[in-house]
Amino acid sequence: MNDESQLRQTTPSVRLHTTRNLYWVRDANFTLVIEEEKDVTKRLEGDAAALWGWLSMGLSLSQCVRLLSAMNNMPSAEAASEINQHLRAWQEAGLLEDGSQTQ
Amino acid sequence: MSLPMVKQVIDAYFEILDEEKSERADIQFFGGEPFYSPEVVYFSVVYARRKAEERAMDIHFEVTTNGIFSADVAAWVADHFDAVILSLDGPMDIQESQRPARNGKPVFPIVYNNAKIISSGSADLILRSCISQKTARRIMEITAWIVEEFHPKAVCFESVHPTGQSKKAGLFPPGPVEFARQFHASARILEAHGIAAVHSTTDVSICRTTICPVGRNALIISPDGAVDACYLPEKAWRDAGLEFRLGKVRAGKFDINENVLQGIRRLANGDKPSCVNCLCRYHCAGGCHVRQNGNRSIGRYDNTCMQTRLVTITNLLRRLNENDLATEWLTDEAAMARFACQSSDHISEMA
Repeated sequence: MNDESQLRQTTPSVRLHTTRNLYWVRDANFTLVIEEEKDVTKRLEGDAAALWGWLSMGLSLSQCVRLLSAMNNMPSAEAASEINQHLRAWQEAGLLEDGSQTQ
Repeated sequence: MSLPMVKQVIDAYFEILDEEKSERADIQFFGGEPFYSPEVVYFSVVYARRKAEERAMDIHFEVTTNGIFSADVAAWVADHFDAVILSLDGPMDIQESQRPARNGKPVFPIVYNNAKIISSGSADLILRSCISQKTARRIMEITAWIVEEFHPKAVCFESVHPTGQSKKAGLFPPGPVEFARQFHASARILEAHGIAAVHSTTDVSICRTTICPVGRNALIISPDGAVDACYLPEKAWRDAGLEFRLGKVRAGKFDINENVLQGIRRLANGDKPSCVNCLCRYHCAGGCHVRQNGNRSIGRYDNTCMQTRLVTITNLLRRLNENDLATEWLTDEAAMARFACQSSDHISEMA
């Protein structure tokens, strides 16, 4: 199976966005994300920190997949799966919200 | 540049650093405009930082940019870079007349806003103002505006380099006397605010053998993998009869021509013939190897040299706390002209 077919969408799209009280600060080797209202702090390192930075600039999912895939010499599908895991983890931690529920 | 090429280049660079047991990596982005290929920048910074972390090595990132990108990108740049050299010539009318966008839309608000964002971040902001004949009289106004609006580490004033395009746009280099006067007055204002005033060829705080990457063992990589010693276009240095092509990135390594490398080192370490009697040579190092023909006869100076000579003198006087003397000298146009053209600065040869 090639990368293109692996990336075919099988689930509905979800628009995630950061919560209203979210701040982050970049240090030399990590990014510290703070959700003030929920009192949640997360220290992001490695791929997670890179992904946070790219998404905060408004890069698309496909751009992030391309960058992560090149970074780690991994197939696009694997990069996409890793990105989804990070997004899910951030959503579960309360750093991201499903945009459709807060409109 | 493709991402695989970026990766090869960074891998090859770290291999050299490992061999040299170096504790610091330095990566600079310039162009053209680096953010015309934003993915290359986004990827390189993360990938190279990761490699530095693996080695517990310091890494320094610098970018020279026109600042035309989104506010989100500006925030990322402020967070991820150590130094940002931003081309901002001055207030709106100056910026828009000297750096108009290709589509005719105003870009000043974008650049201004991004300068504010970067200025408030952890990166050192260095503002680079290109001075033309038209704006030379306004250097102090530009300075006052910068001091009011931003918190840069340094402000760099450089003369317009005449090209076909700049001439077509009516942009010509400023006169040496006017530039020197304005630079001195502006430097005093900037220094009073803890901001360094920079003019690339007149830094009297250090002695140098080169003012640019040429001769400093810098490797300048083009998108096609060519490795050069100079960041000017290949045609420019070839037209000047210079060979600055060091080699090519091949199979994840730098394939460097040792003869060319040695030639460049010799070039950078040797005095240019026209400079041998000029006191500025310790600081300007003969200027740009490509643009400034140092093979004129001894003591014959062009406008760029004259500007360097005048600014160097005022910088030296300022460094000696002789501000009043510098100001007085700058009002004496005859004295300035005499010094600017003086063929030898050797005391024994002065009249």
